Amino acid sequence: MTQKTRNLTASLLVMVGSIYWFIESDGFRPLSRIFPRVVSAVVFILAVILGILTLVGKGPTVKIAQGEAGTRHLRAGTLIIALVIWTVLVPVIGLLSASLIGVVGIGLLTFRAHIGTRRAIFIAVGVVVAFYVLFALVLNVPFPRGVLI
Amino acid sequence: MLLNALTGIMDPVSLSLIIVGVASGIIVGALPGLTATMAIALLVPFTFGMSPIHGLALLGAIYTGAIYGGSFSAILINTPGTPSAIATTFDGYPMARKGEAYRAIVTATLSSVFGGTVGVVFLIFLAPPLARAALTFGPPEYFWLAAFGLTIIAAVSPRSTLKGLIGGGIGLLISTIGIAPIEGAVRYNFGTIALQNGVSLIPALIGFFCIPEVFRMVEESGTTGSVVPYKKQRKMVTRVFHALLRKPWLMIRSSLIGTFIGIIPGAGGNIAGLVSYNEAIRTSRNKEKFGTGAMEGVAASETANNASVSGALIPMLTLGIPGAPPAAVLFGALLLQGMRPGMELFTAHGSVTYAFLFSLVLANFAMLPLGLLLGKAVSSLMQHTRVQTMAPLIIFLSMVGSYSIANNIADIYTMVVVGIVAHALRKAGFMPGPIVLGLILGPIAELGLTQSLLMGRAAGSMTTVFFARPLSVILLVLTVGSIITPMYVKWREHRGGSGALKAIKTLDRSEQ
Repeated sequence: MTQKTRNLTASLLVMVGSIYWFIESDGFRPLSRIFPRVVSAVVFILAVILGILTLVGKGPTVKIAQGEAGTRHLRAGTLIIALVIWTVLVPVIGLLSASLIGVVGIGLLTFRAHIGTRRAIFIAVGVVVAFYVLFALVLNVPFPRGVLI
Repeated sequence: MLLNALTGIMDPVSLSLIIVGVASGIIVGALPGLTATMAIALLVPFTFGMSPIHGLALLGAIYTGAIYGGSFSAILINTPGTPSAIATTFDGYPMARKGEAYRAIVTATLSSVFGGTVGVVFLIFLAPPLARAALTFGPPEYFWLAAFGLTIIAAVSPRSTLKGLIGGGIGLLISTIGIAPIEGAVRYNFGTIALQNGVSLIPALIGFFCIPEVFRMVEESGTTGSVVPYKKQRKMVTRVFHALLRKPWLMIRSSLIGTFIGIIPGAGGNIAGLVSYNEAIRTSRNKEKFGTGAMEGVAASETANNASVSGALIPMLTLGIPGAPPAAVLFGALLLQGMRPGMELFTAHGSVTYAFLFSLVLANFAMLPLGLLLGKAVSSLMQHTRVQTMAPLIIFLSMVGSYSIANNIADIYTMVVVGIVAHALRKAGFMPGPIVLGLILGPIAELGLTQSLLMGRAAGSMTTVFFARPLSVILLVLTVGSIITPMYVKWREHRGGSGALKAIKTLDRSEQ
């Protein structure tokens, strides 16, 4: 995605969000709606300025991360999916079990290439168990439980 | 109170936590990709079970250690471990390439200790009178103060003032989710009970500061540059100490720059280091030495960035306006311990607050032996550790931390959603710093605005309430000034501005 497209998309999304915030405030009582209204109006105006500046070629530039774009998007997309699955699994099978799956999954994505699949799984499981012992058993930090632990 | 604070901080547990905190901070700071803000955000929930003194001492020590730790990678691999160490690379790495790596590290260590200690002294003496002055603030002053905080963070946003302002606005909008401060109406909860009380601050902070870092680790699977090897040399500490003693103005000026830039919301150690470095060049008789391995360059940067640590805590402790992203997370830690910024911190919670301030002094002193002892181990860690391997662990800790505050799974959802949104916003150029400041300042600004409106209605004149009170006028002028100044700076840059100002604009990241 080019700088221009990024800025225009951001500008458009912020405009839509601020319009929603403004309209939604209609249902509130006067003192509850004044602040969100003022802020959403200001944010809308700033988003319009961002859009106009981008269109006339004077928009702010954003440093894009290193590496090939396709690979970056694929890795980020995979991470989002892994995060969502991990989160959804927490109330179902418990934080420890979900984390074992999540850490191994994301571990395979991030460091398998450097240390190999078996070592990656071994390290990931070891780290989760070690931190579980430290937090749940030593520091008494509660872990949500599900059908598993 | 001061005696209680001293006994509170001198107990073995507190001292051990300070040592552990500084050592971990140094490691976090030295590894490029791990930030001080992220480390503090991850650890805040785990300090909930500790006594306030122990919890705050640990977090303060990590903050102090991490800002200093950034100098190791700046000197040894030419990559700042934290953005605060950007200016340290300018002369630190050339020194290392010339075979003076140990001299550079010792310079960074001694300068950090000096700058950090001067900063804490200012914090101890400036914070209580400022907090007392804040007692005279009424709702209009708080409203303008919040507005000033937001415009100044946007003004110093390294990427774009406009995006900084929009980011602050987004944070303000998020802060309106939940119960309205005056009438108690439930707003923008999208029909969910989880959002009825608003967005939980700590899970949101973890989401904003930790998850986008994980995305970056996953996306950029690059390798760390090779570490310049170095050997310890006898009497180097004494030699550097004497060399720095012969530069008292450099050290004092850099400490003052660091402290006062730290006070400005949003302008953290990165800007302090760059401005101080620029001043060191400007006032030097040997300007040509800078950039080729000048010890003064390392000293200027490191003194200032460590002084900025305490500077950033001054507005946070007194007015509730964090001076830098790590201070924003410490603000969350204070709230978690049931302490609200302001005069109360120095009266009702005085023993805890002063113990925290004393812990910062001890943390600065602990940097000296720890930095020199851990140097070799840290350089070895930098050589062999791939920060990418920490990505799943950071997510795991983020989940455990978010959940442990209120034993509420909804907080995990909040953290994950905020994290993914923060990543998307970052991709679009909206950095987490201004958004988080908006989130923190939102309730202050809204309460100030609505109460001022009620005052105006009662007085029969809104103008008198908002624009006729002396403090309000000062804050209004500062707010307008902070919007106009970046425009002026930009205009000057077009006509050939200073090196530091240009460098500030090239900063890659705004958080620490």
